[in-house]
Amino acid sequence: MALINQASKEIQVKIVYYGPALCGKTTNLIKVHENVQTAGEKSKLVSLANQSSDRTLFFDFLPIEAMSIKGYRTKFQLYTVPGQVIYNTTRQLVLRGVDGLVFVADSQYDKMSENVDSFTNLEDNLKALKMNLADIPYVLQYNKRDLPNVAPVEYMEFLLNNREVQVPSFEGCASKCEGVFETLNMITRLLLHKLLTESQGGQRKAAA
Amino acid sequence: MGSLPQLIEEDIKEIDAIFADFLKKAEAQSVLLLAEGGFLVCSYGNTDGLDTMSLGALASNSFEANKMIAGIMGEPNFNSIYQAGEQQSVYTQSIDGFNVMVIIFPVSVGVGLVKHYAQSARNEVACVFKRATERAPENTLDLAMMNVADSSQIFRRRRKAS
Repeated sequence: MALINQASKEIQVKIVYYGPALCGKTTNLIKVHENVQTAGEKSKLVSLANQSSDRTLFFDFLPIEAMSIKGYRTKFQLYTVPGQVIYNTTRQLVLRGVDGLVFVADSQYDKMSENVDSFTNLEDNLKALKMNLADIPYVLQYNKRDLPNVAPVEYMEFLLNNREVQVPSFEGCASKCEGVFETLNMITRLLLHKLLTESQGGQRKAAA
Repeated sequence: MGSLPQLIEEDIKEIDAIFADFLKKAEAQSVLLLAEGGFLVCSYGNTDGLDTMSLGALASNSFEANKMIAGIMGEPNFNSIYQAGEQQSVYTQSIDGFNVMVIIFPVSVGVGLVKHYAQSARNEVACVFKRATERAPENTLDLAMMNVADSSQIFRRRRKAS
């Protein structure tokens, strides 16, 4: 749940990058960290990863502040979860208090079942935390589009975005920073829209 | 899901006074107040050279990991953790089951002293949170001032130097 501090005019929101192992969640954060324009000093990217294989053990964490939002200091905390199946407890822990989600899918044909399993796991973990995916802004990123054996986007849409309400999806090649900022900007827009809508709803309720 | 109640200026002033008193009595270096999800609400004392944002995120997740360990062990009351260092140590204490305070103190100060005063500071801050929650249960937020200059590019990619 976003932290809105009226006294200091500050908003903090948490976005979690979710997806199967080795789909490019950490690469997304690395590319944001390397390329984002910042007003002041750049924040550190904290990675709790296996030293030898660079696989995320706990989470990656990148705090960034949006420069183009006036009136409130708006800070975004970007997290990744470990993709490996065995770290499910850790994924639940990182999802705690999430405001928005980016589901990163691996576009390679042979990774489709892992994508679907990870998506189902996301829904299950949210349920365990008494949250519902339908209530949380999220976007999809079909990553690794530069590889030769990728599934058509229409097929991935059918597998992962075949719900009553379709969410925005982006093709990406995170290692080349393609689609990374488009994805981040879209989840941010959805999140801010939700915050503003809730704020207006709250104001109307208070006035009634 | 519980969360930080909407605090007004008077609450912040009260929390300021509680932590100022705590730091003096416990001889601690600094204290961070963290909301659920690892958000840093505010910090007190000497935080020079500390990346408080990252420290807050790591401390909060570490604390939650300990709560999960407690759950696995069937232990209902893991509400604090102590990490001993060579120069400085960290004591993390739950305030109300959702929000936590992280205390950094020199090793020359006994952890017993910090624990003792942390308990009373925790109770006082919990009272402020309770009052704030009771005052505004609907918690209406006014974000009318928020203005996004270009919503298609909230985060901009740096241009490569040619």
